[in-house]
Amino acid sequence: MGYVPIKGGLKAIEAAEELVTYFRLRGGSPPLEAEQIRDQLRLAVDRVMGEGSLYAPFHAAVALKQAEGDVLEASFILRAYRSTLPRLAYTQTVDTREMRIIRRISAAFKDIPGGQLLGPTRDYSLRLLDLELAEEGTTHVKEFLAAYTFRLDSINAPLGLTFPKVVDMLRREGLLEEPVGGDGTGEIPDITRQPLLFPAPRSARLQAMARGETGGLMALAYSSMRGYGNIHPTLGELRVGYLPVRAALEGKGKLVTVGTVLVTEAEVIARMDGGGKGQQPRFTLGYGLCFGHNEVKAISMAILDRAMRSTVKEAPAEDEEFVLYHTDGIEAAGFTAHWKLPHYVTFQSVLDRLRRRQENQGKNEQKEEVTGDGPKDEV
Amino acid sequence: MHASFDTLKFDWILSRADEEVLAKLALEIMQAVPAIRVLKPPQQGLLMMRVQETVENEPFNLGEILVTECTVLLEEEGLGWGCCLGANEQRALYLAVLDLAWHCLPEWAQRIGAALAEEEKRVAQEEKILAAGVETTRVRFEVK
Repeated sequence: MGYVPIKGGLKAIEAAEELVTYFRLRGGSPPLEAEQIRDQLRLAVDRVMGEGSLYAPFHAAVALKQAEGDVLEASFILRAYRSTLPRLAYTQTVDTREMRIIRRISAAFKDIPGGQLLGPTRDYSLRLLDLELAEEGTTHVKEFLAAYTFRLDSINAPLGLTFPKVVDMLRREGLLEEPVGGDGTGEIPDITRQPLLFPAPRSARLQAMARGETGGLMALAYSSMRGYGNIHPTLGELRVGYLPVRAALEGKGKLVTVGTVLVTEAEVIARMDGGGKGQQPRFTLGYGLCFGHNEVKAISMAILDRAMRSTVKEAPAEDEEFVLYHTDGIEAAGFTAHWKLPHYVTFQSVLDRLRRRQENQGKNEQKEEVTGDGPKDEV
Repeated sequence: MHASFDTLKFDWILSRADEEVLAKLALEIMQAVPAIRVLKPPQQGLLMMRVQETVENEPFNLGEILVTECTVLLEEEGLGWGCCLGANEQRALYLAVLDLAWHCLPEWAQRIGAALAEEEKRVAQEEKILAAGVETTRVRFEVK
């Protein structure tokens, strides 16, 4: 299919951009500071970083401001920003067992080594609109922080919490499939460098989902949970915490710690496999990990990871091409938005064809009336 | 080199240190040792984060991280290298200067060590509060 360029509209486009700014500011409220967005809309910032595939909280906050809160648009802006920068290095491969935990729960076992920590969650809170937040002032903020940290100061908690993993425990008991991959020597595919081809290696699938759109991943994972598939997941472990970023950069020669990044990790235990001749029945697993605090995304990713590894592909969520081609938010939103662009020439040709067929049909009908032949509508 | 930190620990404290503390030290060093020059000016770039997942023990690329890096040079002494999260040219420069002084200028290493020991305490206090907050959410679910 060919494309025909369209010209014109420059003045209108510039004026539209100005009007956008007017709509953002015309309420006359004080401008939002990027720091406010970064700190107080942290889950939106985390989504933008995850879907934009760039860990940069400040920039994600600015992108959210620029996009007036549209997460898809903000992610697009962040991913575009990323494409202007040089790649310095890959980090040292970090084992997620090193994660400094701020939240860790298991839906499979009530007693897990190290215990369960709810962390910052509103999972058990009533979804009642808190109108008091509308009255929140700097005095409230200061008072809360002072009182809360004062109370915590007297609590002695172990520092830098790291815990053994639930899956390691299950594996030791022979209840899980044995890991097949990862001696760490093979080349790790990078979908920002090579196009995603099918069948895709699992590591490429994980990378694609880590930058996938939360809603898209959730919709497909939900289809699998509801019965379009055969996964029946149990959440073995969900973790939120900080992973160290270590890299050996040019000019330094040795490994250095650059900082830490917040991530969410989910491991789902899926239905039993095996049990055939000479095989012990075992649980199978699915894995999800993403930037920031985004539990729906990590859980959905873990379910889809397991679903895509099904040997018999019966449902959309089990088809890797279906899942991975439709869950990149920037591609999906971009394609959806492109229908707004002028399609005058293509539509004109469709219109012409329609008119010709209508004309032809009219002529045929006249003929049929004369001869009385031809197909008749069924009554 | 100050005896109290190994390199990874040194970098880790630097990565968490208050920017004003870094600025004060680095600017003082640059003033006292004007021969320190910027070899590679602060530049934003990307690190691709690699993790090993725990189902198949497979490594994969999680996504990129925005960093700023900078290299400084003191002829006949050595290089200093700084890298911080985010877009922060000042901080990357300060880190590079402190890295150089820490490894090559023993007369400064003592002071850097002392300042970082203070920062380590402050960071530890922050960590303590966070850990205590998380600890208060420890739960024991009972099956009735």
